[in-house]
Amino acid sequence: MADVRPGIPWGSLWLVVLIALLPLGIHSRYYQSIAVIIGLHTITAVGLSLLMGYAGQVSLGHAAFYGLGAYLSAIASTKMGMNPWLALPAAAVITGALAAVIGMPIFRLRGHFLAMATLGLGIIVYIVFNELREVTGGPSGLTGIPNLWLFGAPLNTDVRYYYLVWAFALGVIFLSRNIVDSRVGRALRAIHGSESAAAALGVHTARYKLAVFALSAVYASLAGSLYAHYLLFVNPPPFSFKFSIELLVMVMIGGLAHIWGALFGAAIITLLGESLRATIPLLMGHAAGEYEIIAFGVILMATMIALPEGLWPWLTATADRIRKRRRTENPGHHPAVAEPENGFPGHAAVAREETRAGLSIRSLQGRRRYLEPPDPILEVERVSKAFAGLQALSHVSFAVHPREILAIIGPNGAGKTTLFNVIAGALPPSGGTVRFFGKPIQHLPANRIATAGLIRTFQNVRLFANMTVRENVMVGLHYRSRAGMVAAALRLPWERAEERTVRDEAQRLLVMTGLEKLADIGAANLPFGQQRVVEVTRALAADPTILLLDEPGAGLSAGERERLRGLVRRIRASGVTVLLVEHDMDLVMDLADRIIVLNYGEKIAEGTPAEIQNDPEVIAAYLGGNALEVPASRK
Amino acid sequence: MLVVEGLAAGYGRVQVLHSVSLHVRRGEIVTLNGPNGAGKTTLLNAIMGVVTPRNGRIRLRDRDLAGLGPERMVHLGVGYVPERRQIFASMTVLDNLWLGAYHRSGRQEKRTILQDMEQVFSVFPILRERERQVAGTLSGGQQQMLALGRALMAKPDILLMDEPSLGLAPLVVAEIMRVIADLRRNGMTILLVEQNAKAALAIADRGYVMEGGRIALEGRGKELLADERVQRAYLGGRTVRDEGARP
Amino acid sequence: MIPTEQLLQFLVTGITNGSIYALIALGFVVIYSVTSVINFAQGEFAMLGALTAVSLIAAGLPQGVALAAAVIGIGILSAFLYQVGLRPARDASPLVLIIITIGAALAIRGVALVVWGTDPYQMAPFTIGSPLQVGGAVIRLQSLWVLGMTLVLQPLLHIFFTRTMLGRSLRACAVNRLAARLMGIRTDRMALLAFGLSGAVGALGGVIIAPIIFATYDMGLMLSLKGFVAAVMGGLVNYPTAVAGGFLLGILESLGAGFISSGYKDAIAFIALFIILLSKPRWLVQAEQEIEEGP
Repeated sequence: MADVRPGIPWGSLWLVVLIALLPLGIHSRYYQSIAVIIGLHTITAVGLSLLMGYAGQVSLGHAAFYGLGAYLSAIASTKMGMNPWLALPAAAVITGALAAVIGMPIFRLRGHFLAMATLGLGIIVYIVFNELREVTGGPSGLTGIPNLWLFGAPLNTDVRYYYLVWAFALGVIFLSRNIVDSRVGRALRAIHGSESAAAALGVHTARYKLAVFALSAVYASLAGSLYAHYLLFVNPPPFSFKFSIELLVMVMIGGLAHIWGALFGAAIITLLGESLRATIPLLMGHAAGEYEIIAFGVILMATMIALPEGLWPWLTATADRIRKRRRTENPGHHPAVAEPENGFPGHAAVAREETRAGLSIRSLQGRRRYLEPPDPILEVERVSKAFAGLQALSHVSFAVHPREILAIIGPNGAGKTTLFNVIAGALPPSGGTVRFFGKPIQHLPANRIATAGLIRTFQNVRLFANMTVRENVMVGLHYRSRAGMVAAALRLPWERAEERTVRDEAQRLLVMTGLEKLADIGAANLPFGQQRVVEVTRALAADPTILLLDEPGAGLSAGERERLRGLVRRIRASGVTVLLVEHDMDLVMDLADRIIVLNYGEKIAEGTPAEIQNDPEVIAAYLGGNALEVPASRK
Repeated sequence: MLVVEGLAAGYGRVQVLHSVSLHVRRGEIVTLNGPNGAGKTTLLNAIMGVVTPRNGRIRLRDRDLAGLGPERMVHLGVGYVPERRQIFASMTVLDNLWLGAYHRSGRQEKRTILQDMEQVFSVFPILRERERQVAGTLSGGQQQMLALGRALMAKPDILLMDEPSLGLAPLVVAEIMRVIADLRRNGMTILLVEQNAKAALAIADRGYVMEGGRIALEGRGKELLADERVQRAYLGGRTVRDEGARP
Repeated sequence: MIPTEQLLQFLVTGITNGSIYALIALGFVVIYSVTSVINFAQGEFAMLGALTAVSLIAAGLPQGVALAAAVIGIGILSAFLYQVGLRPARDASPLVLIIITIGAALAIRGVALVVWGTDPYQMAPFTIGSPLQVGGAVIRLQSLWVLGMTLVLQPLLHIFFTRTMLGRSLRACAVNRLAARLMGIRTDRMALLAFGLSGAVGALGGVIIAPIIFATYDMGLMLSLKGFVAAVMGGLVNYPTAVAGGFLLGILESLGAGFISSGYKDAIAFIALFIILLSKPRWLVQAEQEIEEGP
């Protein structure tokens, strides 16, 4: 997991001091300039690490943004005579905007298709650098780029530039760590952990992916501009595909979700390149460029095969293991899920508690809990869904009353999951309407439906494996809080206060469902039954008016199913309507107020558990009484 | 022929089978029924080596099957018709049948394979009509026949079938069951996993009913068919608490 | 009014260049359809094929033997790459796998630089003779070889994949891996074969185009990227479309270089890539759903 610590990074202070004192120890101009370049690469790598490590997206063309920053700043300060200190932010803004615009269509792609699109982007930009001669100077590039001036003196020595660049680098690292350790960072990590689950909790995944892509482009642009005003000359070769790959290697060696790791990676790769260039001629007598390439290739392969998490995280983890003896996360030793003492507070009790807590709770956006839902709260009207050649649902209609527990059952292949997915917005219906609070929702995206108060869980439990239990629940509170990227980066006081409130609210919910002792354990390390409870708690954090549970009993032991029963009852008692799909008949007959039975995509029965158990059509559907009797003589 | 003892298995952190024991004698149709989630498919997956058992033993003709992957099973004479068919949808009917005979194709058996294909076509004449058709465009029932035909191309000694009636109309289900009964008449041993208890028990020699990862009932096919407890296993055994007490 | 001779010339150049894209695209499709890996090193195989053949001829081997040796040798190398580089990382995320192939491509390119340097190499054409004049366009004899080989290879591969057991089982791995295993197919061996086959096909592409272009150590990158674009046109799993895509790309590039500017020629491929990916064809949606089903 990420090396995030809240507040001032005391542990990293020694590194800051080292960086500040480094120039005193280096007297060779050559090494000073390397130190500057490492700083520039660090800035870019941090942005890429945010994109790839935290948001889980990929960019194989990031050199394009670096180059754009360099060229835009160069053009602005030479041909347009702009003050370099203005050119820098102007270039960053333009690059960021460009990234946002291009990102919009690109980020609808996934996996290696996204990777290829970013690759294509990088190459197209590189070609433009080479071809747009009137603007960029073509292959010869632009010269005469002015220095940056500070306090009346030009920043034209390596040492001065070193401090400038590293001031930016440390600033970028500081801001990035703040972002990671905030609501925004959580949302990004949630997207990385499971994009569908994040959307089902109200996270506007498209917007976040674009935002972090633009931010990483801004960082790269900044570094590129600083590069331009350092060399005072730009031409295309440094911004080629090769550089994009180098950046990729830096981030992967540094560990995808490690900000300081990006610095480590940048340092290692830059130094490696330089040292190969320096030493190989001594050994071989001709240019070492080719060996550098081989070395990169082999290192890349070896690292990815052996340490796909990155070199830096492996080093820090090993150091941790040597230094300390942490409690190992052994599933067998988990404390049993404790039953909450006072049970789930009823509706009125919750209201009382909230007024007592006063300001802190009220700052979380208030919600529909206080509105009386209409009856019916959810209506499914003649919903049909057809896949290629298969009619999964045919004109299914039913209504859900507020505060009831309604179960959807049916034999395998009856269409229950499809119906569920249509209601939750994961699939559009082929026909029919779904109304929530009277308004049609069948064509809304999943995150909009979630923010309206309809929250779902997943059959195979989609927890964010890259986060702790508490963090998972805090993601549930995402859209009930407000802090954006700027507030997070700057650690504004109200952002910190909101974070505390969110954390407290998550704690309260964990206590309610009996998970408080497991709060800091990685969600992936829990046994399945407890993972289910975590997912339900997370769903509750989103303050649902109606909760959709997808086969909540699947894979649970008898004891866990018992606890689930109690939990669902308490949830309903607090005012939430529950709709569940389930196979476990004992669970269903016990919990449900009413049951809907599907078969072959049609609703064949609706009624109380007693009615359903004795309905001959239902019995036939399950046991196959509809099949024609096989002639006895055949046996 | 096939003996399962005390089998426990699951996926990742979920324990699905707790301690399952059953046996299938040569030439029998044994059916395994039960509601969804009871573990029927997991059991077949464990036998086929798709899932590694955590406990217990599986023996085929007194040979332990522990740890063998699915690629090996077909060499041992186990034919498998998976849940939801798992045909090669973008390939033709002929291709699918050829692939069924893959493990025999090393040796010079091309003529026998073609003969076997003829036999499959005689059991399923509809496949002969559509032999060059892309498998994914067949109807559900036809795909089920193709899956069965493909499994037969491997010349298995025992056939494991997972929910052949899934998603099929009642008439088609009856047809499939008839074919299965015919196979048994010609000497095939079959373990039939089915949610549709009535259709399966009607042709079975013996049946087991699973619930919650364990065998709940066991008996001769006809007896189970009439047993009320089968119904309760599917639709909930406990009496429903009275509605008046709802909060 | 565009003079027909010029148009025809562009067409010829386009088809000639397009054929190597087509062969590399085939390599992508073979590997992706069997293993779901995008093999970035595909273009490097073409480069290696060309340069190895040149060196073997220079060492004294007759041309035919040198070509065959190069093709087979690179095929073996490709299989080796799978065994050593990708098989150990089988369970890694697609991104990690792509990066491993990128690493391999880099390493191969570096070795090529060491062995052959930065000089361009050219091979003698398969048949010596003066170019043909057809309708005002000049067609080199080698271009005919190129076209011929590609047109012959396509149906050969087609027969292989549809009529032989081996070809069927390769396709089966791609169509439904679980079912393939249930048939007794060893998917690992199939992956090895897929890599070997696509390495050989890529090398063949390099070998037949070597007499026309100057082969250099760094030609692999652009070939990989463009071959990928061509393969993507067929959804990465369709052979005939990948081949057609290769030709189409070659022609588009040729026309673009002729009418717009030669510098932007390379950009055409990527603009085409964008257009394809962003038009969200059905195969793309399906592939992405499979990617998403993970968590």
